[in-house]
Amino acid sequence: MGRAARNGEEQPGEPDHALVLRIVQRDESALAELYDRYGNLVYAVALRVLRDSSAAEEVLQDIFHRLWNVAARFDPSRGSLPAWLAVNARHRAIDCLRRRSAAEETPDAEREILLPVDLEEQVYRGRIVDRIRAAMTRMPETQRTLVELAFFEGLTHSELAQRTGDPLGTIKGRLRAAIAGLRKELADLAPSGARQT
Amino acid sequence: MTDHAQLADDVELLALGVLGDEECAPLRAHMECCADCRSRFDEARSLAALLALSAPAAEPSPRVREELLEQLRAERQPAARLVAHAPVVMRPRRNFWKWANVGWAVVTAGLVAVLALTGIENARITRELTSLQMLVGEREQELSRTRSVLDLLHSNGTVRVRLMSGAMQPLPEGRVFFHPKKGLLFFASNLPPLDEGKSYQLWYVPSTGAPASAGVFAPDARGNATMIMASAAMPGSPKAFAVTIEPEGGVTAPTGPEVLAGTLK
Repeated sequence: MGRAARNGEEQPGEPDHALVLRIVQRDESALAELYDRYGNLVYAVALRVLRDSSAAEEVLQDIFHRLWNVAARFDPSRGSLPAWLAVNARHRAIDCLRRRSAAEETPDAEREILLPVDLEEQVYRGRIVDRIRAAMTRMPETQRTLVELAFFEGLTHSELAQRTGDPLGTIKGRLRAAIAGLRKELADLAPSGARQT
Repeated sequence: MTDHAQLADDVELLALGVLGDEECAPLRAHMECCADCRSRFDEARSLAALLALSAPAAEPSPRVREELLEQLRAERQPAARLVAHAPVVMRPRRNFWKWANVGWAVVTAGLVAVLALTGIENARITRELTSLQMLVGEREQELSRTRSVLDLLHSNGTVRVRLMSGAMQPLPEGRVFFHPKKGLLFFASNLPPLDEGKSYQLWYVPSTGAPASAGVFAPDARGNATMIMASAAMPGSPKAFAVTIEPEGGVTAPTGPEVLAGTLK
């Protein structure tokens, strides 16, 4: 898989799974390489949730430190590393926001997330970001607000109903519609029928 | 409608992380044995993961990277390395004070190194402990939820009651799994939307005595509802279960119209 160098020129780079294997062998330079690829993504997610740069930087360090410690359990053939990093950053940041202990995280945080392999490269190059943002912009405002509150603030549907004043059924319906809309917009990115065991 | 159809509607909400604990448990238990729902969950979770990319671009301080790598290096280095790198300069020793100065320098550098090492080691241990606590907590929670639901569903003493409606179309339907010690699981589908200020209420009807409330709930937009109670201490032995429409928040005895009812066979 080709990688964009820092100066913008294309040059071959090691795929994520090879770097993960090197981390398992305690190679710090492999972690540094992955940090250079996805550090900004992890930080952006944490900052969006916490709105505090120093707290977001702590989450950033935590997530990469965790990758260092659990790399042996990460199976790149079953999951996308940037997705795993982003989802774990979101969970950890929401835990900080709600002052929950790490042990209270939901079990979903640990599971690998299957995405097309070339998404790694697209994430790295920022190509995909515009599409996601465009999809969110086209989403009806009522749905977008709920999705952002749910994803970046970790509100449950009951809390969303309380926050917006809308009935629970309406909240659930709008969230389902939002997911359906995203599925349609990003049909070529999220693998349908993806299975993990 | 089957349990699968009732639960499948909420799989995407689970992936988005908006369901409460009481709704997650039956879904997770169901996904353990339903490949279709598991697949839908993974697909929805992939979509939800993409939402992370909508966060505005931001760049952390370069200091974070340096600190992270420094910490990893420190975790792997023996104490000797830190001591060896301590800024001690050995010079020709001309008199007692020179000896004393060098001695103090060595002691000071050693103490600094030990303190630095202790701090780094503490930070490493704290992080590892946090990681381990996180993993243990996650596994225990998941296991506990799944076990309690499976235990309830498979226990010999669990009564299974199908709740039906008289005449409404589409036909509301419900199912109750009840064990006097292990709790209660309730699913319903095709429930008509409620008027403002109203709730659905599930009733446990004992073989003798008055009905007891088994919980208040509201269906989703598709008319589906799920309730799970880890412990459901109810009087006597069950004869029937019923669902009525009551004032919001529920009442102590049924007053409203009966929507669903089912008796033990």
